[in-house]
Amino acid sequence: MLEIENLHVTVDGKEILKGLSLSLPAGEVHAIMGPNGSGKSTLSYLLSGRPGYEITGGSVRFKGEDITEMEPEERAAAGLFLAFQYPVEIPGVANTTFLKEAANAVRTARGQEPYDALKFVKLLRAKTKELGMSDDMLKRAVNSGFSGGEKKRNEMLQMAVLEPSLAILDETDSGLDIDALKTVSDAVNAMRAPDRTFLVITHYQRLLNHIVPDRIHVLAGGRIVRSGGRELAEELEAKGYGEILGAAA
Amino acid sequence: MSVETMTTAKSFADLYMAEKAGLPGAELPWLAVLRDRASQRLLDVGLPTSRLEQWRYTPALANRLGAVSLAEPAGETLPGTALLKDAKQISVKGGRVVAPQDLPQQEGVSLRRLADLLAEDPERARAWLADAPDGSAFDAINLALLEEGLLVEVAANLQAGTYVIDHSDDSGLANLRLEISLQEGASLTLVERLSGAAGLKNHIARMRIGPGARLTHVVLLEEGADATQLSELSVAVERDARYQGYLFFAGSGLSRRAVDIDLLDQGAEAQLDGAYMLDGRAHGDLTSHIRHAAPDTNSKETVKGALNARARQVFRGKITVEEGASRADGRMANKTLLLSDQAEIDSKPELMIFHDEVQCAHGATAGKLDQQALFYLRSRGIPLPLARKLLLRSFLQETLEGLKDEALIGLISERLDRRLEEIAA
Repeated sequence: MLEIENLHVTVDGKEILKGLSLSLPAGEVHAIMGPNGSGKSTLSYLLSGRPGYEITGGSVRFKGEDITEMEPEERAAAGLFLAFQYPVEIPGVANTTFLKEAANAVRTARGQEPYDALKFVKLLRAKTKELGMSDDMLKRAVNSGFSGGEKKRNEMLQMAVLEPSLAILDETDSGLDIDALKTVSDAVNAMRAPDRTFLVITHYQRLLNHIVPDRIHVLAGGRIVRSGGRELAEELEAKGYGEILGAAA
Repeated sequence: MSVETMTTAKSFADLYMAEKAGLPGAELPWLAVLRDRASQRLLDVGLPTSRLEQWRYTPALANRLGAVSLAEPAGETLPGTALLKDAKQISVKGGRVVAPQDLPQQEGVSLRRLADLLAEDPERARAWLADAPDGSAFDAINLALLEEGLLVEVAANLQAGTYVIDHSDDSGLANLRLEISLQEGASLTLVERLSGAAGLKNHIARMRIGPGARLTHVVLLEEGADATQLSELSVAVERDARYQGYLFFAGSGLSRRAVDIDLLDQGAEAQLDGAYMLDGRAHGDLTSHIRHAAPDTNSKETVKGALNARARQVFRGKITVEEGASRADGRMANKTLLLSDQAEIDSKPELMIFHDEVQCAHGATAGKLDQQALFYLRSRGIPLPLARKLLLRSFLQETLEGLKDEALIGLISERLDRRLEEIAA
């Protein structure tokens, strides 16, 4: 699904990713853990096409294609989705309008029929119910005045509507209480499928008890320094990054 | 540009001399005196230049207007398409009312054209056209060369509904003079639409809103890039009365609108909002002055701009609070999004306060589209032009919040969407 090889990325002239390699097969859930400033968010923003990230070396292939020159909207149409760590508030744009424009833009680009209004409302109602969201959140402006938990649920709603092949969850667990964490995890688990891959970026093992990953990678200093099975998360939780990084160095 | 096409006050005065015999009411001596005096005043003051503080940010008209002539009379004209359902529409073309043949009739509403008034009620006409000795050059041009005017009087306590004045002219000088008077407790919605490829539309309007009366006034400016639009509006708001203005500006190569609102008595209110969506080399100037002359008066002005290419917007907003205007509350905001590096806003909010115990605030901001929000939308598959449009729409939405009439909101919203598609492309 996603092949990253020896990736070097610079932001404002400073190298953040320093030879990162990562392979995500279809249908798997991988987690990336790592200390603050290790480059986790840079990786997720770079993959989704945010301006300001310069690739100075290496390659990124999504479904076999080089995506590094693609616009953010083209990547979304190709099936890439980033659940933001800090979802952006957009006052004045109704959430329903936003979701419908997004879903139909992506469907049109994929050669699918756009949703008709009625069918889309039904779909939204069903998904919001699953996510424990009130209908009111559809009428309000995108993320405006939403609590932390509501924003993350809204990210999951977008994911459900856009049906990506690769979903990157950037610290989706931050700011969530236990109930919201469970809801968000259920939403992800419900979407697990043989043709869909998840990359879960997190600081804490807690999330990985709910979304059980196939593999865990430790990102530090702009590179993957260790990879392993889910037992790696427990080891990290017990020992902290310091010891693991010391051993890897 | 060659010397021959430089337009001066004399160009207009000469035009007046050439046309005066054919103007409405030419046989009335008092009117001839008024027109002569206006023409002379024009020669005395000259066309405004950027040396005048009030015109400081707006480029000289001398090179822009070319040779002046009156707008060509329209041939047989079909009534334009109705702008609003259930509204009474009056079409102006060639500088004159062309449709309907007979003006809309409504009990309690007196609606009269200049020519009819001159014939039937010269005293009223005289009061209306009385020379303003301190009027501007364009007020003088308007009076000297006036071909058409509309006088609207609404009887007390009548809810008169919506009237539309649809002024479409593609060339020449078209002067229009408008006077609206609402008696106590009356209400009226007036929509003015200006369109056409080129020419100079020169509007002078005066509105009086009697005690407890309500006037909603929407202006849709949808002219082409070669058109010039100048207008001066003065509004008198009496006790507990309300003026609600909306400016939808999406066109004209050059437009300048001067609005003076006087809150004359206790409880008088005014709200003036606007959306400027300028492209190309368009220049749009709004110079407003809201005067709080009595206690418990309220005013609110929110003007937003989305400026593309080399467009330039001028916002001069002044609030004056006179002595004795206790508890006056005046708020003014001018916010602009610059969509290109060459677009420009000149914003000059101003407060003049001669009384304590008042609340006034003003603010001006200018910036670019929120890049974070833009990326967020694009990351969801929304193409850049549509993402821009959604953000611009949300930015301008606030200007619509003062309007209560669903039909009006629909009329403006539809135009906003269409215009933003052009600007955001």
